[in-house]
Amino acid sequence: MKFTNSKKILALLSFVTLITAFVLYRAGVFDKYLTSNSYSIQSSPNGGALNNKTDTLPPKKDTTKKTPIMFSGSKSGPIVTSEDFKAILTDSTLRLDSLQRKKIDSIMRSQKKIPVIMPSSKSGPVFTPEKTKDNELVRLIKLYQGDSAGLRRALERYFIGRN
Amino acid sequence: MNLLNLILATGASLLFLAIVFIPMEKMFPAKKGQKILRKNWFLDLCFFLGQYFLWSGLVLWLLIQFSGWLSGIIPQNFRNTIAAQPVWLQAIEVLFFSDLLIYWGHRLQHKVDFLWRFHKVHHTVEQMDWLAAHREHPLDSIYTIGIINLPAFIMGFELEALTALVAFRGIWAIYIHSNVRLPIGPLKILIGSPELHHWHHDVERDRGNYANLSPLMDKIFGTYTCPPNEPEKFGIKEPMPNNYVRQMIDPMLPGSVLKGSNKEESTETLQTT
Repeated sequence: MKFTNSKKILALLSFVTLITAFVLYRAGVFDKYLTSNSYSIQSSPNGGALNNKTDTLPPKKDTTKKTPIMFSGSKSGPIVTSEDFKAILTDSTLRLDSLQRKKIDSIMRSQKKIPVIMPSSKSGPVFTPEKTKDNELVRLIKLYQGDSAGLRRALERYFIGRN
Repeated sequence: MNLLNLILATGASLLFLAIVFIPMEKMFPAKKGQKILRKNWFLDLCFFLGQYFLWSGLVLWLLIQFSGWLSGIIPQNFRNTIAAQPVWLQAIEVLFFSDLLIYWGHRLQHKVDFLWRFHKVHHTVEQMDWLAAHREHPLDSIYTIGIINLPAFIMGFELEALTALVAFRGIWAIYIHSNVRLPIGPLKILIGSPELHHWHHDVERDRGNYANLSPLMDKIFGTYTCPPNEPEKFGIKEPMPNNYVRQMIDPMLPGSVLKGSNKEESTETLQTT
């Protein structure tokens, strides 16, 4: 089957664009676009956005990534990982008190430094799960460090806003 | 809930890779006429699913443990000295030593029978494409990923500074397995391509092109090979079952140690069957 040059150029352009987009995505370039909406919708105590604090804070990189970055092998490896979807699904899990505690615990644990690692030289995960709304919880925990009463109120507002 | 995340991630990865690579394989095929659902496609799908559902998490966990253990025995003075260097210099050092180690580590996989037992699973692919890149024994993954990350582990270098490169390296590793022939001119000295890596998958076990992202190591150590055509045949000369479970288990069986350690005998076995 013969393909016209335009189809070949289209395939090539699509390939380059997708690879570039993927690399940028993994580098976190789209983080602010992927997470900004969730903050303004999910974080409100009364149905409105809790943006009065979020907006005044400078944008920051999440330093609490739970999945270490590694070089993959020479063959292949995961492209998308399950945590990429955690953000979408955590909303419903946060409704239960025990799960709230579990969630906070896991966030606190994730504050610990985890090594960053390269994927295999064959293949490796395409999408990873660290792009989550956990950023908001981390922000709150950091913001109210040393002020347990304030943190409690903020967490109550955070979780109630999700119900 | 985690299972749902995992299923979504796996499905998204499969879809994304298909969208990225299938048009390229159709427009610039290395082996013309090769179908998407080619021979052993399902077997490679099993490897893909196995990697996402089971092995990548396990490998990651093991390597984190290893990294933690290594951190405990590396002298802090050494790490402080490394950390005092500019980040760009640390990055270059990590990349150079990663490439050097993975080159020799890969060469050993082809030379040493014990390592070849596990690595040959990857080389049983007879029709190359993006999905075939995922055919890899988990013990082979531990070895490969461990080696490629060893310099960063030892130096205490955080690869977050190189996230884009790490991502590029990961997807490029899949690309070089794809059924694509798209010459990149003089750039092929700097960056690996399917035309080079396909020769690595030639039916001859010691064909060359062992380097990872850049073929420079092959140039330096004299294992670079790039004939103008595609190899006639991919795969290995030794017999290997086309079955996911058997390919997982066989390399670990005592019998396969004997098979793997005697190339001539295995070749004869294949010829007589």
